[in-house]
Amino acid sequence: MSDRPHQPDRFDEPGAAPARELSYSTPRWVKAFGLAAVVAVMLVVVLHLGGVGGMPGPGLHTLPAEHGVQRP
Amino acid sequence: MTMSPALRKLALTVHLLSSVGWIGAVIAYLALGISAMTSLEVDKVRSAWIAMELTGWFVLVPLALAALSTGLVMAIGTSWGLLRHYWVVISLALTVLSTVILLLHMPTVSALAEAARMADSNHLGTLGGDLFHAGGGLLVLLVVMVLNVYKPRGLTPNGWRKQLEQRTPSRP
Repeated sequence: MSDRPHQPDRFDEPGAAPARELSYSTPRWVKAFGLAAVVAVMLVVVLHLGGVGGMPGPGLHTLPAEHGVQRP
Repeated sequence: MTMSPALRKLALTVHLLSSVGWIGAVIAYLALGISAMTSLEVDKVRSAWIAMELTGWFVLVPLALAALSTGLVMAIGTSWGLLRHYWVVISLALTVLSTVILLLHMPTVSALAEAARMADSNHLGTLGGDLFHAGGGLLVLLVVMVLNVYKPRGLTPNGWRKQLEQRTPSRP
């Protein structure tokens, strides 16, 4: 089923196209994207728990006590 | 609720400015973070964190909100719609996610910038460079940009239903 506008470069109204099939199916790229998103989220959770990308350990989003600065 | 061509062009201009500007600002923020993390000079590290805080609140946050709101206007104000095409839905979801994470993360950046102002040279190195959030955010925004340029085909169930309704002739 085509949903591409006549001028695909423009953020424009999608043009009507003759319906080729009456059954709906999720596009393959969407399924692949969803799978990639799930993997990415799992990776982020693992990295975050491991303290990567910030101060290590449970103080990832807190400051060291010796700085004496209160978190807003 | 379709916009006139002139209004659509204006909305598109603002949307492109804010979206591309957001990506550029994240790259600049990333450069500051790398500087904060790798520099051996105390003043440079402090300056980088102060600049990161200013960039975040006065550039990243306004651009993110502008990109999100103009994106909504572009979707609702054209026949693309907000929920009819997967590329629009995914772009919207990723933009909302990026904006929320940014807003939640900025207080931490402010706290770290304050710590950088007050910390001595021995402790400045423990602040890091906030590369995780900046790098992840940049990756997500690039994905959104690719989706918006290529607009891959794919109707959502809602979009497919609407298209069927438009093609079915009304009975007398």
